[in-house]
Order: sequence, then structure tokens, then C-alpha cells
Amino acid sequence: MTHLVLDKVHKRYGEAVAVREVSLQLTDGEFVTLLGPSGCGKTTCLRMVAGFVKPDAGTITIDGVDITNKPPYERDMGMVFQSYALFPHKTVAANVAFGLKIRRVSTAESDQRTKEALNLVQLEHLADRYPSQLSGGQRQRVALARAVVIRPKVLLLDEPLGALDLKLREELQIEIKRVQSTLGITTLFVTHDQGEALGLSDRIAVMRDGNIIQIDTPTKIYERPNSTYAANFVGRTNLAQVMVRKADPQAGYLVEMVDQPGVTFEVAGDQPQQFLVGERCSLAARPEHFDIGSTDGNTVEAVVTDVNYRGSIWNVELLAKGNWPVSAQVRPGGRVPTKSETVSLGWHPSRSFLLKLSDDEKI
Amino acid sequence: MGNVVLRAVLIGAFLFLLAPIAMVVVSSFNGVGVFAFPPQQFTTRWYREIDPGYYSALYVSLVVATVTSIIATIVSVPAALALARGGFPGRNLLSSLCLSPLMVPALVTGVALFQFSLLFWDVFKVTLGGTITGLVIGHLTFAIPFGVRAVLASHTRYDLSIEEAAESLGARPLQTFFQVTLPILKPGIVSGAVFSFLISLDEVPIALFMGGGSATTLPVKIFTAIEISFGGDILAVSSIIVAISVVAMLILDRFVGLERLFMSKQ
Repeated sequence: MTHLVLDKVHKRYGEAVAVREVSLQLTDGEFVTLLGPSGCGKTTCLRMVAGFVKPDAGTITIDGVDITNKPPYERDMGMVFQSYALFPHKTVAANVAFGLKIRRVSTAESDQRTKEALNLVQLEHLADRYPSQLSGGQRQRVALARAVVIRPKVLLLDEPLGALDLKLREELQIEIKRVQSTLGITTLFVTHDQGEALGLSDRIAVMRDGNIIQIDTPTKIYERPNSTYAANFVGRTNLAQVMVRKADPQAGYLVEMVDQPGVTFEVAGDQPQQFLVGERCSLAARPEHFDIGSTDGNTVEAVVTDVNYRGSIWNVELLAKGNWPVSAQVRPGGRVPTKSETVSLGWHPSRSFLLKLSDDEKI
Repeated sequence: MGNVVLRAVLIGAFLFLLAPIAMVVVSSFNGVGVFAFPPQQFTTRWYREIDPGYYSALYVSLVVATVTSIIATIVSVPAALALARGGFPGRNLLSSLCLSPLMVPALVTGVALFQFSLLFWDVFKVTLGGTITGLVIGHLTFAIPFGVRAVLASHTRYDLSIEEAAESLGARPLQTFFQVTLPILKPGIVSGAVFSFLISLDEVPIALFMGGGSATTLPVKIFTAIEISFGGDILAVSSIIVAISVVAMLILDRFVGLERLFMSKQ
């Protein structure tokens, strides 16, 4: 039963604040991702949990025990690095057994557990190789086995897929998830890749400038981001400036386009924030939620500006009334519009959501 | 065609570099006389006629080279780590200062050391000149920079997260140092040690100023002997030095791999 808690953890480097009073709780077996661009403080957070960076303020506890000032080697964390960080002078098996040797686990048990761990990542046949003889994906699987074989309290993953190419990244994502759920190990994962975050996490913490700006399940983060920043960072979002005309807790909102008075849309479903009548805000919708040619729900007239084939879908770029640029998608089998064609763009009211204007959008 | 030319040039270059050494070794077995060419009679006479003084000089040389190499290695590993990783002010200055003895002519270093030994005697009444200690101190002036350079070179592609991985797996700093850091830096450390040993072994200018008497090294002994007479015994002694150098290189090749060693040099 591992319960990891970060309480108002703060870290400064000179004048620059890397992490601003971040609080975060991981329950037993939970997979939580810190998602954000480089420099948002996500790696610093992870390294503070690992013990490589000492926070200026705040506490980190595991199962109620304060570990804030414990050195890394007393924390029982399994860590996987972007650069693999395997011991180049040791074989695969010796790499995996390293933590067990340090813990003075008997040879018989160590051999057994090393074998099991390599089995778990499907690399038992490479036990006698050296890291330099392995591919990037294999190396990272060795690193994963090495991290979990010590049965750590928490598994820390620092951009483990960052150095791999796309196909391997997808394979290893599945591998990581499988290992993590098989062992039921509490995991903190750091990435800047929204796809990885959505695919792996129980919860995602979106970070910006050292703050966690939203923490929720992947579906909530994707469907109801609470800020333009989160909406843009996770997936593509079409934003239009609107004015709230009606606000009803049950029926939802009625909004009017600022640049095209008279054109109104309905917005239904839970919203992460409250909006008042007369308030200016952003209407947001994901590309895959538009239905080209539909006359149901909200509709707006739009001109097709570009059509791109992407294999599994068609990307359609449009310019809707009120100079609103929209990216939409057509799935195979649907009618693909031609360039310059005028179409009706429709979407269900619950598929769109409202966002508060950020400070720079207000100007 | 181009390949043939390239090969010819390569063979020519090797001949140019190795022929003099080969000639020394071949001539040392020549029974007719040192300068007779081609060599005519095989003999080991010159080896038997080596003056016992050469053996004691060889002993001095080996002791000095071994002690120099060991001290240089022990000093240069922490020094190189500090220079490569430390965040202290003046690190770059210290780094170039540490390597500067390699840029000063050995003759100048020798004069400076001679002066130092005089001063040392004035202040502490301890003689350094003409002692093995003095020779070791003299040779350390280039052996340490050499060792530092070699370790620094093998540190350039070092990934610090490897040590973090060890720590996260429960290794204390000392365990991490001995089980992870040292083994990874081993090629640089071994090459620094072997090169320090070899350079100390055939160094003349510093040994000329700091040595003498019972602390005469083999190169100095040969150097001074040649001024009087140049005979087969000197060729035999030189051949022995060649043999020692070859053995040292073979050890290096076995432990590190010469190719890898020179590839990793920056």
C-alpha cells in the first residue's frame, strides 16, 4: 500500500522558480503523469521525489513517512531515465541484479527475481548480452526490469520513451502499462507527449510554469480542459471568441459569436468553470467532434480551405462565419468535401465547451 | 589503384617509423660490430656484457616509473572528476593550469625542479636532488596532467544519470563510486597509468637535473655513456627498453584496446 504525497513542494534555482508549491497525491497502484512542455517543472518534481533535488520548502511523504530529506539510496524508488542509464560494463542480468546485490539479497533469490523481471519484459534470452549490443527499445526494457526488480515503493519514469522512434514508442507504452498494472505499482511518469499521457495514465497533471494547472482523468482532461493552455496542450482545439447570452444550470449556455453577431450556439454538459451572462469567453471544440454537412445541433456555414489525407482520417481546414478557422475531420466512408466548397458545419452542444479567456486573450 | 597507392604509403610510413627501432634491436645481436650492415654473425654477447650499472639504473627507472604512475593515477582520478563535474569558480582556469606542464619544455621544468630542490634544502634541510623521491616529484609534474587528461577524455561521454540510477537502486555514494564510476572510467585510468609509466621510463631532461648518483635512471645512464663510447651493450640495453615498452603496450591493448584508446582521445 503505497501512498505518495507531495505537499506544497517548492523549488527555486536562483531567481527562477522551477516548482511553485505543488501538491499532489498518488494512491496505491495509481499511474499519474506530469505533462507539460520543457521547463514547466515536471522533471524537477520527479527528481525531488527521487531525492536528486532537494526542495526549498514543502514535504514529500510515502505512507505518512516524511522522506523529504532522505538521500536517494534510502528511498526505495525505481527510476527509469530517458538516456536508459544502464551500466555499460555489466551484462543485462547484472544490470537487473544490481539493486538486489546492493540489498544483499541471496544469490539464489537474486537469480530467481532477475529471471522473473527479465521474463516480465520478455528479454530473458538476452540476459548475457551487454547494453551496447541491444537496441534502444531493448535497453529501456532492461532499465524497466532493473527498476521494478527491487520492488520499489514508487516507480519513477522520466521521459522513458523520449529517445525512441515512433513505432517503438508505441510498443513500449503498451509494455510499460502492462508491467505497471501487472505489478500494481504506484507510478509517477513525466512526459511532454500528450499521446503517452492520455494512453497510460489514471490521472494527468498538466503543468505550466511550475504549477499544476489541472489534474484529472485523461478523458476529463481531453474533453473538459479548464484552460486554453490545457486545451491546446492536449490535442487540437478550435477556439472562437463568444459572449454568454444565457446561462442555465440545467440546460447549459447560449453563446453568441463576438465577430458575427446573431450567430448563436448552445453549449451543454458540465463545464469546469462558471460563466456569467454577458461574459466574454472562448468556445472550444475538438476537430473530431465536428460533423461536416450536418444540420443537427449547432451549425455554422463554412468554406473549405484545405483537405489533407492522413491515412486513418481526412483533415479538413475550414473558415467558418465570423472569420473562425476550424480544423475538422472526416472518417473513411464519410463524404470528403472539396476545396472552396461551402458546407454546413455541425456539432452536438455537449461536444463543445467553454474556456475562460487568458490574460493575453483579453487584450 | 588508389588502394594500392594508399597501402604503399602506409607501409612506407610504418617503415620510416619502425626501421630505426628495428635496426637497434637487430644490431644488438650483431657479432661483427655495431655499425656493420648488413648484420653478419648472431651473438648474445652484448647482452652478457651489459655493465651491472645499467641494471641498477634500470631498477631505478622502473621504481621511479612505477611509483610515479601509481601516485599520478591516485591523484588524477579525483582531480579529473572535480574538473569535469565541479561547479566551483575558476574551474576552467584550474583545468588549463593543471594541463599546462605538458606545454612547458621538459628542460625548463628540469631547471625549475633543480631550483626547487635547492630551495627545499635551504628551508627544510632535506635533499631531493639525486634521490628517487626527487625523481618521482619531477616526473609527477607531467604524469599527473597526463593522467588527468586521460581520465577527462574518457569522461566526456559519461552519462551522469548512470550514477543516479545506481543511487536510486540503493547504492551509497562510495558503492556507486567503486561499482559504477570507476569501472566505467577504467579505460581512461588504465591508459593514463600506462602512459605515465612509459613517459617516466624514457624521460631524460628532468631525470638529468633531479637524478644523479644512486638515482641515475637508465636513459640518463645511456645518455652519458654514449658521450664516452657507443657500443653493442648500449644497443642491448636499448632493446630491453623496447621490450618493456612493447609489453606495457600489450597490457594496455589487452585491458583497454589501443584503438579504442586513441579513438576516445579528444
